[in-house]
Amino acid sequence: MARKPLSGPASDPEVLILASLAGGPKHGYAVMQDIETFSGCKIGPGTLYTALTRLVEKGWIEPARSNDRQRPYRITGIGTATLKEQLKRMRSLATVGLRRLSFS
Amino acid sequence: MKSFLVRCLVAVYPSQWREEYGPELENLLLMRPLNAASVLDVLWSAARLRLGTSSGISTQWILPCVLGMTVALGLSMVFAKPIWLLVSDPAPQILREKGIWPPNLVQVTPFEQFRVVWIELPLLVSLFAAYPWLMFIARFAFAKRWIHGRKHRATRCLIYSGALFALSGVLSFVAWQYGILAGLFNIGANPQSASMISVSYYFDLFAISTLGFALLVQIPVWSWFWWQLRLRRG
Repeated sequence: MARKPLSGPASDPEVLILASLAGGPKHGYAVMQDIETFSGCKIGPGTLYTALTRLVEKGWIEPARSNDRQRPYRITGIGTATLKEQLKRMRSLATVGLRRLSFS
Repeated sequence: MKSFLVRCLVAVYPSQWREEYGPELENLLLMRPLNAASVLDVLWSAARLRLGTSSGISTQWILPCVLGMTVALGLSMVFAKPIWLLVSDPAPQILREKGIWPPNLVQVTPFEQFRVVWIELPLLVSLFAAYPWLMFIARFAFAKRWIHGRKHRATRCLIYSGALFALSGVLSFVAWQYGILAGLFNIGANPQSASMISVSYYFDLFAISTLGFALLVQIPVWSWFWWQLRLRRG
């Protein structure tokens, strides 16, 4: 039910959240706003929190300590490595696709 | 009003998840406008979490389950008439023994026979036929997430459960054919009064005895399964 104007890996909630947290720790609402700003994708609150749960379970992000009701999340070392890997794959895919388009 | 609605929405999530993330989601929903898309998104996510499909396990198991049930129900409806003839086969002899003449099951309401033969009987038969398949699929859908270290024993348990359910259905059908019916009819029978046996009463006895036996057989299997889950959850 995530309202995604795009499709494919660039709109995967997990990649978007990791990319958002790569810029520093953020709480859920800030992550949503950030994603909307840099990618144009609107992620629903349910989709956001199930993706956050998955990422925490995988150990790619972790909740930071906070007394507030909104805990900030930060990306872990494994999360950073995974994001780099994903982005490299997306970049090589984009490079090949763009090159082929320019020859067609 | 909005805070009440938000609390209701968060309450749809599993309790374990709510303890960890509930206050955050509640706060987030209160901070932004609550429109239909957000409500649907939250409900859908909660359903996925409850079904155990949010941790990377595919939701594709739902389709094979529905398909399995549909095929079983379709086949049961196609063969409803011969199955009913088999189920009702012992009736005339028992009715004769009880002195009921003519030894036929009676229809109390106009659509009684139709309802029993074409709806209730196929549903019962399809449940027995599809259950092993449902357990086979459940093995992929749930065991991986819930059991981890006990995965192999748990998947075996689900397969045994499916096979036992179908087997106990067949066994209780055989028992029905060879005498259980006479015993059931004699419970509380009064020789002073003449009685009639309706189609739905006859089918209800059949359904209760087969389902009851099958569920009884399931108790030890499922007790063991839940015990394993409790061990896993600590």
